[in-house]
Amino acid sequence: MQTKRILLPTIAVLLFFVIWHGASGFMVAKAVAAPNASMKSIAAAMLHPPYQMATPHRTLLSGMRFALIPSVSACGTGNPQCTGETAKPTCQGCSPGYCYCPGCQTSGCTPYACTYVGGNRFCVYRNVSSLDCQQHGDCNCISCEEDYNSSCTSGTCPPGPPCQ
Amino acid sequence: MNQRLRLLAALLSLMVFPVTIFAQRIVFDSSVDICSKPGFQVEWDSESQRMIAYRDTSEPACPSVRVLSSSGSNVTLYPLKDFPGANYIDIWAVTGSATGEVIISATLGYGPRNTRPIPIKSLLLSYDATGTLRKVWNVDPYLHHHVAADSVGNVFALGEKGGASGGDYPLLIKYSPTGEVLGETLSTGLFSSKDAVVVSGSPNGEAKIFIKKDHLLVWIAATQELFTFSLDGVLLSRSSFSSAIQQMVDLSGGTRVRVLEVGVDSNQGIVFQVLLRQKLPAKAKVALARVTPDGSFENWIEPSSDGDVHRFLGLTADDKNVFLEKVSQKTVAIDLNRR
Repeated sequence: MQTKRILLPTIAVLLFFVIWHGASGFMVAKAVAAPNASMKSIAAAMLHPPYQMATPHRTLLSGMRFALIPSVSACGTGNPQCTGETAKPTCQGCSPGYCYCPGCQTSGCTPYACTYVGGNRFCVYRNVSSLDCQQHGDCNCISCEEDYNSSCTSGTCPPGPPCQ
Repeated sequence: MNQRLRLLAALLSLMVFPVTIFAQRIVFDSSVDICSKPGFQVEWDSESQRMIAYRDTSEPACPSVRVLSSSGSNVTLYPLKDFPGANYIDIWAVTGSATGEVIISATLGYGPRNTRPIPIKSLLLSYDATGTLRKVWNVDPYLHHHVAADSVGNVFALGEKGGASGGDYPLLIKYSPTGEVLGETLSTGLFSSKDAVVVSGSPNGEAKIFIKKDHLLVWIAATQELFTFSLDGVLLSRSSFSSAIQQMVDLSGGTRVRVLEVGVDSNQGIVFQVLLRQKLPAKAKVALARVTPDGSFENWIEPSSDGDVHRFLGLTADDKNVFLEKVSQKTVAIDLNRR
């Protein structure tokens, strides 16, 4: 009777840890796998990982919450809409490492492109005419730095609203 | 006898020297590349003396990363091949580690580029020296714009948190070699423009992180400040370089300065390659400047020029300047013998 009293909770605790460990491993494999990956392929990746996997900013619970309710974009006050994009330096038609415009010269400027990464971000192409505009940081993508923008304007997005 | 020995030594040196000289020159020829667009960005890995070229791609057969070392070895990485189902990969930052790994901050898009919204995964990838994918960490909700790695394999990443709802959060994360968060620091609360300081597009230049002599250095271009941390994440100093940069503006008669690249030597002296904006219609100029650790302008290492100037990439482990030179439209080279 006494043995049973000790054994049962011990088994329950062990079982809980095994399930927790298995579920954590599954959620990590799921976070790394393609969004439409099958349960079978995720389980296979968990059991025979092709590489070391981790989700440093997610716990089992937050991973489960994310799997059930994907995050939604919600813009803060002031931004008319979320584009889910952020500015990224680009390199078009230049020698490797000389990603400047115009003419790919170091004395040119850095061209940026609005790049989709999701989340609560806002970014539009625009020709920048004032320093203040650029200091809005992530609120604008800059096709090229001021002074030389006419030669480097690119991208398919329409110009953004004028700076306030 | 002596003459014969000298002759033998001369012959031997002739045989050995061209190899040595060649080994000190890293050449990247992209003319044989089947995928011409987009072009490669280039980073310098001072620990392993390697040039790392990278670009975004939507085609698995197109190389995203080329690693060329001074020893002559060359590794090409095709990360998109490692993620079946992904439509494209955007590479935000790369770095090399002392163990020969290449660490990549990337986002994978699972859908056409022009479609919104599509699932995006924000990852840190580690490839070993042979080009085999060893580690995949999903770092969501972070998107890391800059990465560095220490000699034991810890990874430092500077990034922004997508969907952050106004509250302060740490921009700098230290990950263990197994992908655990070991430390978080550099709160957005330290900056008036919050997390915009790590996002591209500041008129002052791009942020950067790197490791020099057991210190982690974080250059925040937007505020023109250099943060020095111990590798345990303890903030050792926060130095402003705005007065040195203003001095550069005054000396050049320019209107403002954009920092193109920053390097820190073993004595904490700073080397800046800067773009000196002039009043229109004068062209912008490029110069290389040395600044003391306390933030005072010291001297011009290279005077300003408005020509097609070589790019400063950083410093070697023994503090030599590293420049990227254009050899032809498709070929660039680093000559490690050049100071």
